[in-house]
Amino acid sequence: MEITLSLADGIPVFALAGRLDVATSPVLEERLAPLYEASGSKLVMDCSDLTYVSSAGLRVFLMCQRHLSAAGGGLAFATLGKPVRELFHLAGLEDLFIIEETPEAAAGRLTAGK
Amino acid sequence: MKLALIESIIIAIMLVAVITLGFVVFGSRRRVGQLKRSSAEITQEERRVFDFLHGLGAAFSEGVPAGELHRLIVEGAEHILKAGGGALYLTDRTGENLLPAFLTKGCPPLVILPPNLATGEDSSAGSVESYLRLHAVPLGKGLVGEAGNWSNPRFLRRKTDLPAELVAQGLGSLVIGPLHYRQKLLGVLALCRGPGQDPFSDTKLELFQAILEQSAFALFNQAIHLAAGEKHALDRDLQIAREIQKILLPSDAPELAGYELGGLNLPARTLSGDYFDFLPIDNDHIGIAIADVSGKGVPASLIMAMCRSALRSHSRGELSPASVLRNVNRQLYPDMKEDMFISMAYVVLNRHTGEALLARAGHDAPLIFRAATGGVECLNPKGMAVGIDSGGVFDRFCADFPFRFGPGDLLLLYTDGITEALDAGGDEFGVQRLETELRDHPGEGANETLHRLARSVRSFVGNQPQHDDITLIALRKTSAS
Repeated sequence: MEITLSLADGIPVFALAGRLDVATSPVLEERLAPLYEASGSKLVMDCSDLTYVSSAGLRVFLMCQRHLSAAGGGLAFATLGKPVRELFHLAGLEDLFIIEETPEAAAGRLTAGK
Repeated sequence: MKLALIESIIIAIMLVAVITLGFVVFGSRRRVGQLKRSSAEITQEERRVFDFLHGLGAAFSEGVPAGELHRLIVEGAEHILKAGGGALYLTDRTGENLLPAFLTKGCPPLVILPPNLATGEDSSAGSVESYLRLHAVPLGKGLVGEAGNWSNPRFLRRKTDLPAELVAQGLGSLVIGPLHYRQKLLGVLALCRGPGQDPFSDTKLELFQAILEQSAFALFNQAIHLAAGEKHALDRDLQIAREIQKILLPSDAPELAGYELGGLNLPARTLSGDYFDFLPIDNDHIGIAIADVSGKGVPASLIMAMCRSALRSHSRGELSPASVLRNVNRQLYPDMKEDMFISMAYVVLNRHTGEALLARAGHDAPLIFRAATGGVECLNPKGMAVGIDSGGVFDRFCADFPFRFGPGDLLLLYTDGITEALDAGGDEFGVQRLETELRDHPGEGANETLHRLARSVRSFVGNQPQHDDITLIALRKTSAS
């Protein structure tokens, strides 16, 4: 799995590419850990090039969502590819996560505090 | 005349002597003063070094959390060298990147920020901080990354020593060096001063080297300590979790006239917490459940045990699997930690009519082989995993999905341990292979199917370690009734 950091409207964006499964999710978890030490952190996950997410990956997403919102920040998803969209749909997570078409729109939702 | 000359020469000599003496006395007094001052400074510096070492020592004996040790190292070093800020980067699990472990508030960014963030046009202090915390520095790239490849620390005291972008971001002078222990790079420590402060003096390089060595030693020891502790906890956890699992899983499938029913659990070496069960509902109905608890060890196996008892109590007499799962979710949600959830599929079968209802809570969609057509259907109604939502959203998604068993039809429930099993090339077993296996062996008994699938995934994986539990349940209708 590849993780690329960029910005959208001043909010950090993690672009994930490849498979997020039992083997690769610890890498994402390690990259996210420093963020949990700060308060009010906001993050957008760009999943356009994510080909596969397993339950281990879902666990990292849920943990990130809970850590960030508990500390007054937030997580939003952008540009879901077909596999991730299906997973979120099947797992009924569409209502739980902020999901937008573009990283900018996702960043906008976080800035607006919605 | 001669006498007067001699007299004035003597006076002149004495005057020079007095003035010289005065200078000497004054000078030595001043030197004494300077010495006194520098000795006080040395004492203070010793004091700070002592505090630093004491802090690290205490960290060992008290077994402080990793984050606390990182803070002690940066703040201690900052204190000793009277720096304005500091940063600690540690190598990640791949060894290819340096990840921020601790950054003080006063430390200007040591990585080049993207232009729009650096100029502050669309950012707040918070976004710079978030960006820095998420930024991984590839080893060898940029100032911090290069320092990882050095063998000794360096002082970068002039503006010309530093990348212009970092100077523009508020960096004045810097002392930076690699943390090595036994020839292994553990990370990079940097201390900095702003443009308004005096640059670091060269004499402190040895002191900084000593700080690096002590810090590397502390980090190395903590890593070993943590690994040993984790290993110990994991061994103990595994043992307990295995025992719990042994108690919870049914040893035999119940006899069911007109059907064959079987379950199989292949535990991995690291236990994830699969669970399956056959539940008597009433005289006409039987419940079949499969679940996968995320998370590991004792907490996961306790949740599994709670899940089992919740399922057993709510399933009795209840013919709607969705209603059972809603009750299970409502009961378990308050006790589940943030990184836990349970994916479940639950089927209620009317043994006389062959009619069945399925409710799915984030679990892999069950497959059913249709004897009449020779095809395989995927049963995937919507449903969110248990333990994520307190009730409102869960209840809306979870619904009963009706299907019917014809003679020879075979239902397969499975956990993602089988579909995610990887071969040596990193390819996964996948749902397609499962479907093919079912299609290619029509008329095979439930238990034969289970064992053939287990063999086939084993030969697919080859010598690769199995990293997740595999659980399979097969239910086959043998005759028309």
